Amino acid sequence: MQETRKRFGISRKALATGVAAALLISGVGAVSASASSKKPAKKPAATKPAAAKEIYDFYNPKCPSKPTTLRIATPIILEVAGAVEQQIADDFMKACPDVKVQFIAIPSNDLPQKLTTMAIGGNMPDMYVHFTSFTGKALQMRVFEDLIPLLGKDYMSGWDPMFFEESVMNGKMMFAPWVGIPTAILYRKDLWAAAGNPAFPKTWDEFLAVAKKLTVDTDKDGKIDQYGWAIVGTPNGSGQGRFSQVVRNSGGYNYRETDAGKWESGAMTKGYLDALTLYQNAVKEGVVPPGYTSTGYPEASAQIANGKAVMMVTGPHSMGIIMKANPALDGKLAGFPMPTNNGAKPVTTLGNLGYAVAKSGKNKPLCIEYIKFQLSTKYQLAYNKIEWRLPSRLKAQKDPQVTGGMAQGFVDALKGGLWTEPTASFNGSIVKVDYEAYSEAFQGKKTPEQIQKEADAKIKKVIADNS
Amino acid sequence: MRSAFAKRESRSGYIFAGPAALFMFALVVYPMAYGIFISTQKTNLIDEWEFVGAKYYLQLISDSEFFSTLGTTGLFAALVVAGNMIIGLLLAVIVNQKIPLANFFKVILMLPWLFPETVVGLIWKWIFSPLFGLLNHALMSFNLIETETDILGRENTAFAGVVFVCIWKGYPIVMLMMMAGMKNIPQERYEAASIDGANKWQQFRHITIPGLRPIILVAVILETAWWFKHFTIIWLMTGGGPAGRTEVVSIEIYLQAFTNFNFGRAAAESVIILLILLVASFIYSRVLRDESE
Repeated sequence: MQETRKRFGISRKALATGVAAALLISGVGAVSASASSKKPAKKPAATKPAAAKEIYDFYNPKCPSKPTTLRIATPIILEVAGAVEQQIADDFMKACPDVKVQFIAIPSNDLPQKLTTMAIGGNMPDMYVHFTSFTGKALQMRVFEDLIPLLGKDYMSGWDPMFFEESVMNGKMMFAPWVGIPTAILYRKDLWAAAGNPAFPKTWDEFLAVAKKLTVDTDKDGKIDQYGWAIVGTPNGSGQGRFSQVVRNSGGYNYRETDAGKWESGAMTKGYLDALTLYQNAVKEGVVPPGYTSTGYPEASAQIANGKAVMMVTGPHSMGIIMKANPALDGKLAGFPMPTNNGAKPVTTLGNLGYAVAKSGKNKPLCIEYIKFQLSTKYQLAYNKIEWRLPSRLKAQKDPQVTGGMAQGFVDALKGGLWTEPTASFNGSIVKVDYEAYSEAFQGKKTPEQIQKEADAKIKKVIADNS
Repeated sequence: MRSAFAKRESRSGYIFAGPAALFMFALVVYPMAYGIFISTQKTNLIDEWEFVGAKYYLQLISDSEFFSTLGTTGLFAALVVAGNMIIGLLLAVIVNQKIPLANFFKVILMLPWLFPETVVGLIWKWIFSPLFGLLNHALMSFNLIETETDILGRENTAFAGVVFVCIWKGYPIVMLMMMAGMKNIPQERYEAASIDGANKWQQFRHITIPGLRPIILVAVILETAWWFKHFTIIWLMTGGGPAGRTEVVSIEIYLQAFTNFNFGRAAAESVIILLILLVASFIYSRVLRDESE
């Protein structure tokens, strides 16, 4: 247990303080106060008095008395962990035979768009998977139900504060954190060893040098067949999210909110320029497999699985997809924290996700039952086992299964610090500017400085148009 | 004074035309009017509605990127329509000849049109893939290239790639229209021309083309409207990339609406496209009609 706390860099005292502060900031007190002054709303069956400790190793749900269908929009069901998500649903339906859980499968890159159209069409599911990248849109559309009063404040203390804080905006809990995927560099240990076990790169220059070393003609037929870096270069959230990680770990940012509450472009930061330079040089040096502009997350994972590439900027969940494609890689995958530039501390995103309850939903008490059931330690660990995702609940985090093994390097990445995507409603437009910028860097016709200037002008225009 | 019969007849006219008019209103007028209304609003289409007047139109007419996207769209549509018309007409003339297995070839040539656009986009994306694609494999097998070439990832080939695929998908419907049009050209004209000593090219130039002019007019208008606002194949193959080289206006509208949530601006862009296509249709009809007259 001590080891776990150390691993996350959180002492017991700090944890207690953090949770208390988070609850205060998030307005739990206010919610309680207002609740006591008003006639209490019909309480969900599951919000029974709960002890402050984590009690839901396995939560027995309270079932509705009439047949009910629970619709959940989720990308997870399409992924390796879909088996766990389905298992949870099956177990819930066994526990509550009158409940039918119906998944609406949506690929993660399409989720915001689908949810948008569902919300506009008045066809929101009862619950949906919320990524932190969806926060700005969810806030703008006001499609979520605040979970704090529904789950009860005692339940809040069971969450790791890192997860909890990211789920609360303006005092409202937008989703119930389930798992996280801290981003780091995933690599093939066997191919790393074959290259003579080079030292883990601390800077992006060293990263490029290692990538060069790992780019080899293994069968000596005169053609490169193993590349150092499985770069995700598609023009979508998967590509941009990784580019953004490189920018942040170079000490830059694409845009941010100032203390005065205004948005400002960060494209002219040295870190942004360095990231563009790295992407351009990676292509020039030939350390990324051909087809980088159309290499999305699945393709890059496949490149790692089949030995076409050695390193990838990603979270521990990728090990699940890679091992599904090549089970022989069990024990041959690992991660290390992101390299940095310009004296920046290695930082990562938490990749926090969980179920959100739709404001328009008609089965909110049942949704809360389902969330508590799904967050049982048993299922948190089942999810972790299949995809190495970090459980959000403290009880599950303390399990030895979570602490060691192939995911260690990803957990270590959290020690450097966390950053969260800005929550502007126009975030999508910034994402587009980013991916146009690195796509341009790939082409190699413009210098990184030129691309940087263009990106800066575009980001400023997006901000101006939306202010 | 109007007679009772005239009044009755007039009422009957309204009654008969009413259902059709209602359908027209519900399916055409209302959506268009609603689109125009949205273009004047800052809205999330759920519970936020703020009148902003012509703000988005003013933003667009001062946005060089939007004009660049319009330019890309215009070039894309022009190339695809031209390709479809040339190939469609050429193939229609060929299969209209008395050749063996003509019906079999007609069916084969119609196949691309029968595939859904999503299937076409994904199949060609795979064929062009530098890692797993058939094209690269074939080119490398015949030693035509040394390393994999990323057709959809290179700015100088991506645009040509999507234009090629859209022509592949689009020529059959033009071919079908031309074949139908050729059936309406009286055979006697060809016989008379033949007696007068006209060769095949002269017959094509002076009988087939003028005879097909009404069909060509309809085909060009429909094709231009269709490809100017085309989305699916380009989105699936390149997503508008690399670096915006294949970003047509429909992709821009989609991104504005569903990525940036700027429904007002997206609607304003759509209204501008509607106006452009109305003007283009008017010009086409005037030019082609004048020539035929």
